[in-house]
Amino acid sequence: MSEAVVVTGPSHPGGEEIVHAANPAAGRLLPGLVVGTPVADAGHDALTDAVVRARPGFETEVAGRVLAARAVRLDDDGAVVDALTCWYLRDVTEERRGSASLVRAQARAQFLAEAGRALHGVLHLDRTLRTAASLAAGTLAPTVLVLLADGSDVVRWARADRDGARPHTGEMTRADLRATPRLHEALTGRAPVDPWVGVELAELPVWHEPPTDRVVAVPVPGTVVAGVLVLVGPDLDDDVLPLGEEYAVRVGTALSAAALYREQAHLGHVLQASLEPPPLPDETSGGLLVGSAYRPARESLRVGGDFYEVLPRTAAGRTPFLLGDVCGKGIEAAVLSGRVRQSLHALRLVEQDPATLLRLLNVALLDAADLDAPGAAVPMPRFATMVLGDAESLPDGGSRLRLATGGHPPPYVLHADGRVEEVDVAGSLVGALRDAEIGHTEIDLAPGETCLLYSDGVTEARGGPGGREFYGEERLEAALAGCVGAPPQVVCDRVLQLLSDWLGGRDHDDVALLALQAPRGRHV
Amino acid sequence: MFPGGSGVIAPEPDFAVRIEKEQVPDVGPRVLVVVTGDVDYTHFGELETALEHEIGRSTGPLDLVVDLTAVPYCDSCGMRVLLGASQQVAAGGGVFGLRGVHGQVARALKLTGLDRVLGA
Repeated sequence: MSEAVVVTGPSHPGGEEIVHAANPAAGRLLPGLVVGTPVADAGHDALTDAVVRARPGFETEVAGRVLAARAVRLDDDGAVVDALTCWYLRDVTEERRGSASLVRAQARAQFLAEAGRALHGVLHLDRTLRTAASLAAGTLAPTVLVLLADGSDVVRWARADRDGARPHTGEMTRADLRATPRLHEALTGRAPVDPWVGVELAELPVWHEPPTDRVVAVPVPGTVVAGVLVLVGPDLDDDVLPLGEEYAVRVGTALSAAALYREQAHLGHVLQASLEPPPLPDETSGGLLVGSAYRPARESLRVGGDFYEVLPRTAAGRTPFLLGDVCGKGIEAAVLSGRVRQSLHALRLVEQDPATLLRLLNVALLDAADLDAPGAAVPMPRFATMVLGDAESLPDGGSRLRLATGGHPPPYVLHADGRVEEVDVAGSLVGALRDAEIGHTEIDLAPGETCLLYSDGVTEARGGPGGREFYGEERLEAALAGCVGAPPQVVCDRVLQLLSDWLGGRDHDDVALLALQAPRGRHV
Repeated sequence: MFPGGSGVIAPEPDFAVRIEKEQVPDVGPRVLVVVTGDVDYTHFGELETALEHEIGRSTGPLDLVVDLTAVPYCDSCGMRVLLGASQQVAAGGGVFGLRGVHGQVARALKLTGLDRVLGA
């Protein structure tokens, strides 16, 4: 195609600007040009303006085509005033459209990348929902509404308007969606979003004023959530739909992650609560004084492995107690801890001797592990360590303890004179070995004497001046020796306090303490 | 908080598992798993993966020794991994052993009765 050329200039020196020449290509691009007539008569304002003001070029749109023109002055004789100007015209419609779409594509990619980053850092369902609405408001559409169903009966929503104010949020129940069956269907995540859902949306109590502008709804897909992204604006073009869909995918992923995180944290809390040591019985008649302390490891999803309990006095006049620790952490440890305690509750119905109980528990746990992994040649070992026993009042006011242990640190006895003695009892861990050795012994506590059971989280707590030293048996013994005359709860509180000082704020494993004390005689 | 203390917190040693092969005279090849650092809740998985890998790829009875010389601390998660590995090696007709056990690790293994099982 030959280049379009128009030559303009004064009709005579100082005269009106007229078209001196125009080739056929120019005539096609700028219809109405007539050689010898004034430029202004052709009716192309951009050309007229450029000629009159002697601009170096101009761009204009004629009949849907974008034209670019550059001027070349034919002033080689230096007579600037009377010079002719040659305008070279080019159709740049495709170029302009291409670069505009490139700019749009870059802006979209940037928006989606930034949105992805902003959404994924949140991990909180309601905050993610609010962020999803406010990020898109003003970019995708003036008003953005996000509706979210998380499998419960509640549908949450967040709406953001361009003004940048904090998004509005609210909740509806599924029953509230009876009048909006298409939305209800879309929020199950099983059906595509019906294009007519926009009409229903106007009825929902989620607007400041029901929208009169165009409403576009796209699905928010998610693994554990389903939602709908609603864009509202007066001049939404069809281009917004693909971008809205891509944005909705990112929103869905972020909401799913937040929902899963919430579920996991909730599960952890429920399990932790179920594992919280039961309240200790009040002073059992004529019997034992008890105190305890428990400090689970800090991480919220790290469900503790330590457990202890003191049961009400049996018909035989004995008060059963135990303190133990299951291997591992998290959900698996919680399940094992539950199994240990429930097995013991059942076994106690037929057996009271601590050593026999522990041997039976060992067999029960091994059998259960085999049942859990019938295909595996060697099931992954799961075990617990514990001290288990019972206490019986003696005629002199003291207490006789029967103790059995499997793989657990031996208890201490704090004598009335401040001596601290380790109980000489040892055994192998429970639930891992068919030939487990269960150690057992009997000790008598004189009135006022205390027996302390503890988990290895105490002696293996790392701290001190260097931050890496174990608290260790010696410091525990010294701490206990300083508790002569204290009631059992004070003993536990004091030891835990000294341990906290040692830790100096550092993280630690589960810590459990159980103190058993023979009551002081009335005349002592 | 600790009068007289230096206040300097010693850096936690990094955790590492290194696999070495030894030729034991008159016995045969031995896989030596050298561990450095605490075998605790945060790190036991790395040791478990390494041991499972070595056990899984052995075609015959395995002579496996875990060197704990550079391990200051082993919690119940770590003991579980060691016990599981020893049971798997034994099930395959092999021999499992520990080397360099000391300090807290030695106390914990003795306390739990695992010292006699794991050949510490």
